[in-house]
Amino acid sequence: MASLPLIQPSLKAPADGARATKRSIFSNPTEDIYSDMDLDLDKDGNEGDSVSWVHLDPSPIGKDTTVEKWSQSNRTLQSTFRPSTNELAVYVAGKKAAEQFPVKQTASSKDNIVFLCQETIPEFRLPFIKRMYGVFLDTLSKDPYATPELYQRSFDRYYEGIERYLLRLDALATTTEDTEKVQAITQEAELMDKLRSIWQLAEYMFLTADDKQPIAFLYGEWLTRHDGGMDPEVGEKLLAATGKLSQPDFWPYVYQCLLRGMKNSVVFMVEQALNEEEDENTADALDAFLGVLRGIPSSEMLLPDGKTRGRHGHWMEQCQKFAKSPLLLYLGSEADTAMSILTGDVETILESTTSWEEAFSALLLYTDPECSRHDLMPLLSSCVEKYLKGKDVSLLDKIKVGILELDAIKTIRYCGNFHPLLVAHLADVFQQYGYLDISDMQLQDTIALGWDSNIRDFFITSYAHSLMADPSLWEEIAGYLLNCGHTGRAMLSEWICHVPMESSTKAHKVLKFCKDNNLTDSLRSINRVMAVEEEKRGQYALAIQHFIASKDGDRVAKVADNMMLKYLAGKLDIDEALSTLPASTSPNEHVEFLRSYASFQRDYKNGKFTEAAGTLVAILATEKAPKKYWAILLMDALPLLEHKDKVVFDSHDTYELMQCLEEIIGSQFKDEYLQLLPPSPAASSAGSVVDEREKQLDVLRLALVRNLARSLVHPPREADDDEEMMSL
Amino acid sequence: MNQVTKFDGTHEDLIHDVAFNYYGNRLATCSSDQKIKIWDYNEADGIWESNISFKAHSCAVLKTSWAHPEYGQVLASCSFDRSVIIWEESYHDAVKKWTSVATLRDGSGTVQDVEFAPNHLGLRLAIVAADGLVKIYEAMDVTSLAHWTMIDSFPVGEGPSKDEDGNHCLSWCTSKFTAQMMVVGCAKDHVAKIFRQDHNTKWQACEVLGGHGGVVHDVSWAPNMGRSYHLIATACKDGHVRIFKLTDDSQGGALTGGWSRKMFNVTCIADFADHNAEVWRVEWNVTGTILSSSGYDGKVRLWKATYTGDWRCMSVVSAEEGPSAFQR
Repeated sequence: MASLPLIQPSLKAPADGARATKRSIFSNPTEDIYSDMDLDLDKDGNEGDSVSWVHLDPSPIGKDTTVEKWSQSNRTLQSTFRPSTNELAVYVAGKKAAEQFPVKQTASSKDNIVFLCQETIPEFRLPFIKRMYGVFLDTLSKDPYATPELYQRSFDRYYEGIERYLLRLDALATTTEDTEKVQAITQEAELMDKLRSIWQLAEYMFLTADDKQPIAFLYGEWLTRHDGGMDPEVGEKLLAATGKLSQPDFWPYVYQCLLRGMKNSVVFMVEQALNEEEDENTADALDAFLGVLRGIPSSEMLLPDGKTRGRHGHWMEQCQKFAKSPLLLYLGSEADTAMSILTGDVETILESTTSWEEAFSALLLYTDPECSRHDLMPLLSSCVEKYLKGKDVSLLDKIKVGILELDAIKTIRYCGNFHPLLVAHLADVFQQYGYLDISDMQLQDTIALGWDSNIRDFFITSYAHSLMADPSLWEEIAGYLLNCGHTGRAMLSEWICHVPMESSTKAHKVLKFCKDNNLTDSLRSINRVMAVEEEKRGQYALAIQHFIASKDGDRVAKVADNMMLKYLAGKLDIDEALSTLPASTSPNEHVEFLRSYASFQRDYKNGKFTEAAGTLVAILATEKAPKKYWAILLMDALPLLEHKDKVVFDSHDTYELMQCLEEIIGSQFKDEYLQLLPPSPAASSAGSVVDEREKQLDVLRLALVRNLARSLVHPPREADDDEEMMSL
Repeated sequence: MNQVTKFDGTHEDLIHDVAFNYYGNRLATCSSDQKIKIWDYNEADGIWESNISFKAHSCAVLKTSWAHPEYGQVLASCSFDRSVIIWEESYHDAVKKWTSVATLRDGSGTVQDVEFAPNHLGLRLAIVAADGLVKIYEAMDVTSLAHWTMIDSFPVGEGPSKDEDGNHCLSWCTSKFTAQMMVVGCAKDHVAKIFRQDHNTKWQACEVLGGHGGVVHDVSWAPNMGRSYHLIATACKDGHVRIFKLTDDSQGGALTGGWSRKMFNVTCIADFADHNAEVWRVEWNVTGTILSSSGYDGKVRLWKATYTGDWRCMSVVSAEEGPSAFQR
């Protein structure tokens, strides 16, 4: 289709008499154009015929007993959902505990089977699902009204995608040897064939703006492409035969060609019959008949400015004239039927056709080839009444009729029962074109029902749910949900947290997706879980990184604590552990403390006493270090305070250290602050342990006082070189 | 819907509960044989394998519940022996082991249901026992699960019940945007009640889900998913599956958790007698869009709303003999 839809029901259709927008999407069933007939296409309900049944194999109940007896023996069936995939674990459950029976109940092996049930997605469909998702995103990014040509190019990829998938299925069926798989491929091809036919009919009816191309010709094209009613062999046999006119298949073939608007085929066949005709009168009659046939309306004969109608009228007169002509008698009585079809005799057409689709095509072509899409009802009613009345109407027929009624809501409703992929994408396109706009009246309905999302979002989220069966499609599922408004986003936010992170690559992909799409809660939750996992594996830097990303300061503190304790026990190298922490990680006081403390230890080991002392004082003075580590840090200062050759701490630093010491000793939380000091073996009760630990600090106190005196008498010089001191 | 796989639970008695972990790649099964088995999904082979089985209680293990994975691999189990045990997976010499880290035993009846609270409430656990008391416990330190404190306790009905009166059952409301709530099946009272924490942090019954013609065997609060209303499903002895819709009774709709408003408009929007036998269990999927119900008719039914808000049965899984292939 080169151009764009002209039909936008929300604006134009009411004026044109279209019914879809005048009714609420919540009227159920949607008002039927055939309400005055006995025919009710909605009978059997909308979803009643789409309940799927699974009988567990092997049956937990078995053949030898009834459900009632089985249930009376303390058994019932129970199920639970698998969170990420909607898979269902089904099992036989004991209703009451064994202890509630005086005699021990026996359980057999068939009582212990856990069955996993799910809607499965065939593996060969996955590339198609991914391609359709790509088209979905592509169309979403374009506006059918602002950039019609761009949109159309994207939109056309839907049909191309279905076609390509059908070709792939065809190729797959020929190269596959496994009969079961071939059967599955064949079923899939049948399903896709129907889907393609629905998609194109919907496109022709709702989405083509080519007003100059009457629906009669587009419908004829659709019928030829999607309904294989004609057997090509019949035509080939006739062509090979001599005396074509007398062949029993000749006229039935002609009728079928006429009914399906296959002008070229019928003209060719009659030309061949004429070429071999020896009887002059019959040849004249065939020649005249050919003249009529060449005037059958077709898309190539369209004229501008409404002249087509005039030409059609003229052709009809020609047909009627020939129908009354004595020449017709030379072609036999069957020719009368052909002429009745050509002159648009409804009764003859309905009697000659084999399906309502064919009848509709013929009626359109011969009674009103320029019929507007909005005026199809009378013709459609005749066909539906003749072929579907009182019959068990298939879902496919219901959909096709809904489309021809130009009833977007009905189309979507029935497509919803056909396949989630079809309805999701069709609803999306319909929404973009404005077919599913909710009028004020309908909006009131939605409020009354508490409905939070529109019809398009409903079907797209349903489709996304159907894809959950295959975890490899997580990106597509997430993408569909993301584009489904508030509800879809809320579902995504919850569901994505349940996606298993089998590898770090996947985990990072999921995290990136959440970050890029501002799924803050999910991002936080996933980071927190990943942090716990990393901590369990001893990957402290990664754990810290994820806890920081999840904005969980308490857990960062706990990991830092754990690292510090491990370091103090000589089981961890903090420098090494933190080396993998990316520089881009947000600053965190606990991490800063660990880094500073590691730096202090490093400087001390390398003999850089002045730097070490400076770091230690800074850690304490800025209160980077939690107070429970102060006693340890102060004890770490002891060798520097007692340095024989150099005054490392000046008086100001010494005062600082003394103040810190007094702060923990004088605190009501002294027990806690001294807890990390090694206990004395002599301590026997909690009280004496604290006293004993405090006593250890006496040495520190003495060293501080001594250092203060030394620093006042011999203040440390800036030029002092630690390494020089070491060598002394 | 197809049966895609199956595995032998290998318990020595009837299974009482099967629970998936948060990701659905682990399963816990518990049974009257007093054991819990942990099953891991082997993705490469598409099979469920169990390497861990342990005696969990001194009586039948009735239910299990997994904690959110941010607290590690943590499982709670409740039993006919009147206790609840918190289990944690740990590694000992690179071997996975499940260790009992805490036992909660202060009730006077069989513990009939156990469920961890939604994650945003922290590591909390609600239990309900045959004595008709709901108790809420909280882990004092999420990095060390040995200490659990009972932070709340409230009776679900008038006076204690007996085991014969049927199950008490509970289900948390998982919405982050409301006050803490849960729905509790009240055994002999033949109702389910909504309990909500009031402004004094006391749990009060604020709504009754009535219309049940028998004991409410199970309740399930649907994940909210940003809807302006809540959905709660009940499984009843009278053979009915019911779906209740709770909307804020004030004009304007959204459940914003204001303390001054406590009542909901409750409507039963679906009532199905399809099981034609006692309904034993109801459960929502993770997005609150599909409801499963199972009953004494040996069938599991899946229910889904149409876009018109009608709930319809979409699938039936039957324990009876029949054609195993997919039917439509």
